[in-house]
Amino acid sequence: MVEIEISNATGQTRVEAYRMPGDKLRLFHVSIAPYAINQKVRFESEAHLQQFKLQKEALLKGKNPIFILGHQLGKRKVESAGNAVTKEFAAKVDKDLDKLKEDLGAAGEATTGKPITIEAVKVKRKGT
Amino acid sequence: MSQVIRVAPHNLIPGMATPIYQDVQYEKALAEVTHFGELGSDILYQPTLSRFHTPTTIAQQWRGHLDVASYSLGQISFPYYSIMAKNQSDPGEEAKFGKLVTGIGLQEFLDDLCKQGIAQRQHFATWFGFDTDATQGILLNAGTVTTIPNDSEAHSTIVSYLPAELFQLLTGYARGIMNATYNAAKPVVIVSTTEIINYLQTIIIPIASYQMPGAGVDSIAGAYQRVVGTWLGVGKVEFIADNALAGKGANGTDLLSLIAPGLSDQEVKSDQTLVQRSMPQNMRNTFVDEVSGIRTYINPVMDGVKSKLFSLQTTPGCLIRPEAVVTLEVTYSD
Repeated sequence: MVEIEISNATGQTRVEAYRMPGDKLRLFHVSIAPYAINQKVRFESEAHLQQFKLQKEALLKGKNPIFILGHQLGKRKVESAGNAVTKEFAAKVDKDLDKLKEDLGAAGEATTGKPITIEAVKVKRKGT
Repeated sequence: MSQVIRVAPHNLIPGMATPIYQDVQYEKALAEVTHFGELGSDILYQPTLSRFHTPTTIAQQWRGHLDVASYSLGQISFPYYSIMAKNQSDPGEEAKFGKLVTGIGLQEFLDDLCKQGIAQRQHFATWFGFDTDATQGILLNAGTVTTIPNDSEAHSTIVSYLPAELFQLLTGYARGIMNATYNAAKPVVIVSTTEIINYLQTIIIPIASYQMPGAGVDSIAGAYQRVVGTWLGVGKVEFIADNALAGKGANGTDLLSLIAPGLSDQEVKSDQTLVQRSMPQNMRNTFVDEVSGIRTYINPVMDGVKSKLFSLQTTPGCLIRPEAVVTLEVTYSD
């Protein structure tokens, strides 16, 4: 039995499955709670841990890692990783929305010479 | 409007040639579009009941200490947003448009453009919310997120994955939703990019490793429909193609999401689920509250210019039970 500590930088419940090489039937699941700091996870053996690391490399390394392996003394590193993931996502969606605005604006401009704009405004007051 | 030069005499082909945009049936992932709200409200609340518990006492001759029933109330809140779009035109433009285009007037066309814009904004808000850095929308909520494990030959992209194992994997996630909700959350809707949905609907599961009674050949989606839909009792499984999910996962992966929009109305046969039976329940899992639909404000004509404002007060995609949504971050191909 091998035990390691994993922190989850995001607010997503992550249930990650990995498969041992050649095994067609069984999947092994690792469940990490949202915003978990130093959650202890047990693997059957060192080989299992290696497979987990190999198959989930994208979550562990990459530009903005979602899982941080090993004991974290404070939550600062995990928090900043989480913020980076959120910002990256927001940028992706905003880029798509800008494209939609451009298309619609162009359609308005082509017919009447005036672009059509779409605005979304929060009804909610600040602080509620 | 640009100049158009035409030779006389000439003929026009009826109908416009327009670019093809994706028509997303995202409403299928919603149990309902509701109209609970009132104009000007800030928040829509969903009262929740949890930890209801009635200890019982069993005794043969005398009663022991009697405990009392307890429960806990809470609430989930969904903020309202207002989506607005405006258009304007003058009589000269209208006349010119009418001379060039047949079948539709300029005003009608511009109104449609505004409605399209609002619908597209709402489409994004249903999945990802209005504030992308807040937890809003069906896919950004607290549901489970996962990446696909390697198959038995160490492939990890959708295209390279062994079809039989991909089928088993997707069946497993639908089973997971049903297990987590005691078979209450159904039906299941699968949303992903066009290329992934088309792949699932056409890739054939090799017969040597997968066989169904009376069926010689089936695609992953076809077999899924029968195994999950009929055998597991989920009902009709809808596959929705939506390219807004492309590249939205971690490290540029695409999203593939299994969503159970509602709860099935189960026939209660005993008093075991008294609370659910005696109380009016919200059977929706996913919904959007459009207060009173799109409202149109026609402004007075100023200097011959007509202008219209379209406004929709709506919530982002609302999710009540996160266990009924599983999102996979997948790569289509290497």
